[in-house]
Amino acid sequence: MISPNTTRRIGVIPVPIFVALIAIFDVMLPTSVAASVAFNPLLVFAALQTLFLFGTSVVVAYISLKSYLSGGSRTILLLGSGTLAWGSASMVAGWLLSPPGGPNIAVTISNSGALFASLFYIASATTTMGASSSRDSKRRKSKLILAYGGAVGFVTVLTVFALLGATPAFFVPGIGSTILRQVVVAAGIFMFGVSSILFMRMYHGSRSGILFWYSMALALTTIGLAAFYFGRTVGDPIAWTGRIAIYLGGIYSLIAIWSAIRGSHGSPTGPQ
Amino acid sequence: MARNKTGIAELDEMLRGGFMDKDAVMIAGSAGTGKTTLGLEYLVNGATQFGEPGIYLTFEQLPDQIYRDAENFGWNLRNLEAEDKLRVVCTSPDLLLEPDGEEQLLGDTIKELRPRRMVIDSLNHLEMYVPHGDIRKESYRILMYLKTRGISPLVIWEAQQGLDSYAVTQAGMSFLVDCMLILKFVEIDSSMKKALVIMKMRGSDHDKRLREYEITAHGLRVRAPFSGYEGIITGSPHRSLTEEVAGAWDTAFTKTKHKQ
Repeated sequence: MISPNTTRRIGVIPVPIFVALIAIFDVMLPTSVAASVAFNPLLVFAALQTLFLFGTSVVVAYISLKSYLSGGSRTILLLGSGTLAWGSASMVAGWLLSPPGGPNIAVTISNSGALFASLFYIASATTTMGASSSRDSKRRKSKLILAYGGAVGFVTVLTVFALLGATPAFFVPGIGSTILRQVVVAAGIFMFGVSSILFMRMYHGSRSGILFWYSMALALTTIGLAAFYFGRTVGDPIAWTGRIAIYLGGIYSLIAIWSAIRGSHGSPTGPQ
Repeated sequence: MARNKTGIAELDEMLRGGFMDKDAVMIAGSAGTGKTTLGLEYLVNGATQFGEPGIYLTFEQLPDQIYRDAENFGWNLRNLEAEDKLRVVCTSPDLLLEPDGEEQLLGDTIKELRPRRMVIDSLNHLEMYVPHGDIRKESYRILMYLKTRGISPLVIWEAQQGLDSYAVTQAGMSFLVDCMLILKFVEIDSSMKKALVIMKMRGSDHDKRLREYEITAHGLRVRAPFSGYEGIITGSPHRSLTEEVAGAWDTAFTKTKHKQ
């Protein structure tokens, strides 16, 4: 039987592996690569985004919803909203990778969604409002509808605007990323990274498996987003390394839920 | 469709406006669950809020006890009797069971008061006076007597704690009534709470959820449903898996933060 500590040590291993892979590809790949190097099977990409990011975000958002309604913690409300925003934006971006306007729409939605979600995460990790910040259950429901509705609503509005061409360009085919995209992604990476560190700090105080796996999920997402800075084009090996890191982050968030299931039944086994 | 409001707002909401007019209603529950309190509150509210006089027929308590207990909830039954809005009838079940007993016992009061509501506390006492198997026949006769006189009867039935509605059904009483409310104790998170559920209500939609209730200084008050718990009726309540996980999720993210 593997102890929780051993499982967590194993859980850390992908972090240096992904960092190393990105570094290796960065060294190996020429500065400018042909479009043929890019691998963008549209359906597969859309399915992966839906399954690993939207699917997992729905599970986390649902547990956060139940948790907020019973406990009233603002931390949980912000966490659930951020997860929902990130999952929704990722799924929409996955299905819009190849519209008539090229990958700019998907990149705009994905990167703006990441920044928007990271705001929720950092607010969740830093908020000082704890449990029972909202005691009235009707007010909790209203706040929940506002927060979750706002998260999904933002992604919807963003998608509509991007499809209408009303958003600034994030990616110009043949030229690459715009300055705006670089700033947006950098801000998102910073906030995902800081959130991950803050949750890991909380983990060291509590040794809760939930916090460990959720913090690692955010760390993998940070690495995945950072891969963009080294990628040559959409769908190159570096981009895929980043995507796989983010998908693994989705799986880690499910492991966090699994830890909650095991913990609620007092079982000493499993990846707690 | 006319409804008889109980005057307890949350309960009336559960009943979609109140009991159906002329329906026979049963309140079943173990000792101490507040059956008599609910019955009295139904009569007092009927008399004071809805202009519906009522009769409280009891086989188990003396009038002074009833007046005293009611006063604890702020209900002055003597005043209501003086205003011809209520009658407290304390009698022995055998008088009611005699041939034409209900007419002899209640006929004059019904003519005089023209009641719309009546509480019989309780049918278990009748059971002691009739041969085994005859309780349903006798109860049916009394209920029909009241219904045909335009009275909505509410009967109280003491059931064993720990048994579910099946116990009432098994006793063969449930088919006699049109609406059945179950009151019972439940142990949740190491504290004893009271739960109320509408088991049946002929010809009407109703709230199917199990709701917590309390006996307060002003009578029975219905609280929120027992959401997130399973197995309450069977007597072994436990939080559902989702609620357990949500609780662990909350503890990890919130309680840890507070410790730091």
